[in-house]
Amino acid sequence: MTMSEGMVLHPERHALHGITVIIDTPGSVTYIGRFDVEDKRGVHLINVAIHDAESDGPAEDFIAQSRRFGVRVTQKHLVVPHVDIKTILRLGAA
Amino acid sequence: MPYPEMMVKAMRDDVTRLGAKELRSVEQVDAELANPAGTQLIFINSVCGCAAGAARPALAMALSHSVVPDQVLTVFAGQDLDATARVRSYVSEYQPSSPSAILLRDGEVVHFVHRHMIEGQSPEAIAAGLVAAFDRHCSPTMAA
Repeated sequence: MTMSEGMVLHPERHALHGITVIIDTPGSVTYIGRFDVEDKRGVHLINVAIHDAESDGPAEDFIAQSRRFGVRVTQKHLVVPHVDIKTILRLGAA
Repeated sequence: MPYPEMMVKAMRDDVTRLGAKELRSVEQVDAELANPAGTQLIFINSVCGCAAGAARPALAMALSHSVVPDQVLTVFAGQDLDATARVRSYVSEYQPSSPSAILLRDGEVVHFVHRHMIEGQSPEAIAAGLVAAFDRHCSPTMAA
């Protein structure tokens, strides 16, 4: 193949490295951002959108809007501590 | 900060050799998008190997389909900053995303493939989505 392809150029990284994910927390906050790395501090996200259902409305709407119109980035880098992670799902998942 | 041009030339060539017209200035973008007619696909190229490494082959596969947009355009995010920003100004309802592919019909967005729809997908799967959009929005009966 002559194309400059490369499905993953960082084979030593986490399987979700480079993937935009939704992190649901035990509280009202939901994060959407690109999974970078995971270490003892937690999961490092880059280009992050943050939603608080208590002030911003249903998280489902936030997720649907992000899927349709893209991620409205408000923070370049964020570490989500492990204790704050309930689930991690791919934004691109059906 | 843009990468050295020698690092991205092959990535540009991957797209332009498919017939895509590369837009590298605001003026070039405006010349193509200010008075749109018909269907236009804008491929926002990117250095990122995780996603763009699949998106470029996918574009090649999709453009070999029997139904394709009237015009294929490309800008390179992170490299041609002003041109990319100008393209995004035409689709400002959507958040910046690269790589991505935007299908316009008469200047209106009819299909948007965001980066998050590309990540982790095979070129074949991405191409299938583009082809479905071409069939839906670019067939001759749509233009009639």
